[in-house]
Amino acid sequence: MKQFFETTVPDFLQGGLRVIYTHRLQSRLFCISMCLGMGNLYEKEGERGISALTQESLIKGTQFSTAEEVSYRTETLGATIDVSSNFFTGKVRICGPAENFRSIIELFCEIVTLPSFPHQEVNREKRYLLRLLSSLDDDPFRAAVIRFKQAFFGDSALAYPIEGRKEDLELLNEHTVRTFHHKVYSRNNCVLAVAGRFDQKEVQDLLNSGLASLPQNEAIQSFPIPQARAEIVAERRAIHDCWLIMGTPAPSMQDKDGRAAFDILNNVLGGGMYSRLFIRVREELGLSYQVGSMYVPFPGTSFLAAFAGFSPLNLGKVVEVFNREFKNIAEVERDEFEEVKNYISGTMLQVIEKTDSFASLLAFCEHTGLGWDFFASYREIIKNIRVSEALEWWDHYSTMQKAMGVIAPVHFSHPLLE
Amino acid sequence: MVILSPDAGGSSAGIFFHKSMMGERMEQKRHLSASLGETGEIFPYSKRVFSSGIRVLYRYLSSPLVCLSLWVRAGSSDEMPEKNGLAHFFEHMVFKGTKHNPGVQLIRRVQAMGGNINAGTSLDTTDFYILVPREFWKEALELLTELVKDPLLSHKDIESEKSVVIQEIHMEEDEPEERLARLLYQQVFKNTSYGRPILGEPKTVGSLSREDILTYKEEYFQPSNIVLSVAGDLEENVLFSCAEEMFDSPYLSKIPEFTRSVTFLEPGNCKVEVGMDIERTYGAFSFLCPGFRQDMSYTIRLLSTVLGQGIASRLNMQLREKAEIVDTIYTTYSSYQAAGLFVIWVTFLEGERERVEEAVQTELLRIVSQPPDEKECKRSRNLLKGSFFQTMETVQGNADMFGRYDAIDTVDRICRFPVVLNSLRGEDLVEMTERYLSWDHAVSVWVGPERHA
Repeated sequence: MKQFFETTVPDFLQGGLRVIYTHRLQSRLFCISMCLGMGNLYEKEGERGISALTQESLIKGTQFSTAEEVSYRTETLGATIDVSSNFFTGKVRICGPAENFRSIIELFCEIVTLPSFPHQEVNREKRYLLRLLSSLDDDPFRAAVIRFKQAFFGDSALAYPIEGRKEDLELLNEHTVRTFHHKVYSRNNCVLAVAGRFDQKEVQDLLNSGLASLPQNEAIQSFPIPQARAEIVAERRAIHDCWLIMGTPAPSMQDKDGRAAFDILNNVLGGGMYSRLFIRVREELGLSYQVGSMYVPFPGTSFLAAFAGFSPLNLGKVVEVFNREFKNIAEVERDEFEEVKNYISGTMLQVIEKTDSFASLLAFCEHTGLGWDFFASYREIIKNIRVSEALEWWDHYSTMQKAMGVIAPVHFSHPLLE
Repeated sequence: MVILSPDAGGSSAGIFFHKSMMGERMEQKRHLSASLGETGEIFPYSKRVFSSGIRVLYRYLSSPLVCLSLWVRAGSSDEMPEKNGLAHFFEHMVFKGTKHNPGVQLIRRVQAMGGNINAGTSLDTTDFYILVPREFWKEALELLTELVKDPLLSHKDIESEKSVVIQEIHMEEDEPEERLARLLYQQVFKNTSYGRPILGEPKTVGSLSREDILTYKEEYFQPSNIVLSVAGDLEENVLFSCAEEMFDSPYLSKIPEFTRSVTFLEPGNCKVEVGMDIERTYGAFSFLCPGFRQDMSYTIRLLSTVLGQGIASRLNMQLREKAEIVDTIYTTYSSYQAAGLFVIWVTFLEGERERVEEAVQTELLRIVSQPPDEKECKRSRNLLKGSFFQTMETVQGNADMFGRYDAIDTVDRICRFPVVLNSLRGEDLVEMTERYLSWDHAVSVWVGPERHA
């Protein structure tokens, strides 16, 4: 991991815009990635979905190019563009062959600073998001995740899909999108990362000139995340299997020690094929093909949740195993704990290996206040944490009530679903 | 893990037939290079074929990780109909314990090294890989070898795993895109071994016995039927000698004969509709095409990119951006040993299938009436090359691509791909469209809301 951070240089562009350069001399690729504060936690009541709509519309034309021309220019460079938002950040990333780095930067700056948000394009993307919202439940696992988030976050910003809320989206238009864009695409609300094979001085000059018009606004505050709830939200569908997601509160992303503890214990519980849930539920009981757990750290209330898809007749049994395995984490063995640390380190290497994902990671860590080199130091925290310390964190959170999201077949009845 | 479309995205390898390895010289070592258009870069690799018949490929990559990928030329299309699901079931069973690492100990050891282990089954191949930090590559090689040579295959584990696979089948049936793909393959490859589901049916999986699994292993998991593909930063001579040592067994039985001859009947225009408890409609138009071993597969791949890869592709521009009659539309070209499949995938919420069908048909005809000009071809070529670079950036991408190609055909094709790509023009795409994308032979499959079915 060290080798990737040794060639990484933090810097500022004119006007204070943070930029992180990371050099890979042998790479054939060049990638530029911007992370900015937006998403559910930055949306006011009545504006749920404004982040997703802004991002969808961002590449639908600039002051110099139509939507079609933007796509053509990108793809003729052999590049891919990724524009998205999630619960508390947004991303604009272009990745392509290194020899095209100048054109990629030029295109990137034009998209970020001069989007035209034409009425027709914004309306089309709005209709697309509305249709997408109506069909999120088509995938039973995703439907269960949505129910779990409602059970855990109540009716707060994080309980909504990142696509927004129907009644809010319907009221949004190109004017609200332009205003939101102006607010969030500002120097103090974003961080850039540049990765791959390139000349740093040249890239710096191009960015200074291409992003010169990026405004410097007042700092934007995100809305706080409310306390966790422990409800059960269930829904029935005409499907074969049942999906269950069961979770507890967990340390926030800024809480480095708690986060390290939960990263390790989450992997003990349900990360990978040698995890307790996988062994109990799949290998020993043969109940499920897809079973595991996820730890999702937010800048505030966060969660750790176990999940599985299984025959509805086994719902009671799976709930029992989940509860038991949550409890049994308290008896984690030292060997098991140390092995999982190695597993996490290896997984980090896999993320860093790819130029585009490393660029996005650097920008994300720097933007969220963790620091661009967070992964390097976090690896040390993981390495040094002891079982007893991790279990203190576990004890603090895991005794809280659990929230559940369930998708079950139509005619199946169970006390949990009433 | 099931791999129905190994080259989804139209950018990486396909699956195809391999030449007999018996004629290859042992200790063969080659360095190949190919010009990648404007970049002029090369993709060197080393290859050796050992006395047991195993082929070992190594590609150097400066990385803290090493990926070891083992490809066996045996997949679901090698099964007898009544044993449908056997190849995939075997892939599951090797993770249930081996001679020296019972239960999940082998997985535990891999994860303890900071590694990942997984496997996939396709119509023609089964692959297993371990991805580990560089310092553990030798131990990983031992474990990967043990995984395919010495699985325990206990009766108890076999019975327990059947319910897991049947749950996997149910999961596939509950997920509209998975169900659509399964129906599509069943329809296009009707009455052939390619038309049977990789996971099998609950009934066939339920009837598999330990003897079935052992016979399958004996027949197909022979060194001469295996390719070991490794990418990372290690000493190649050490790798080759370790690999030779680990696969030193002589031929145990007959060597599988791979001169498969499957006759595919070009389907007539037909439509299949299925209803589910969903909101959106998921559709696919598919056309039977040549498999990977033919050079025209490069042309079809480029055609797929012109039509349905990227925002500026013809189908996306016309149907999503302009007419707004679909929410998503893209194409894939999946190539197999004996045949290929060109598919146009669409989704929409409110709309008319007939209108979508008509618009797709119009775009196919427009390839002939308004052939792609150089600007359009350049976009598609560069997009394919960019995607190729991204695949070749990771050790896993390299090990997978080299392993897959060598398992069924020849690695040379990887190097030839960008070269041939540069030579293709609009008229080549017209020819492919006329030959293979005729509406008279289009198979349409729709999975939609129950009320519309």
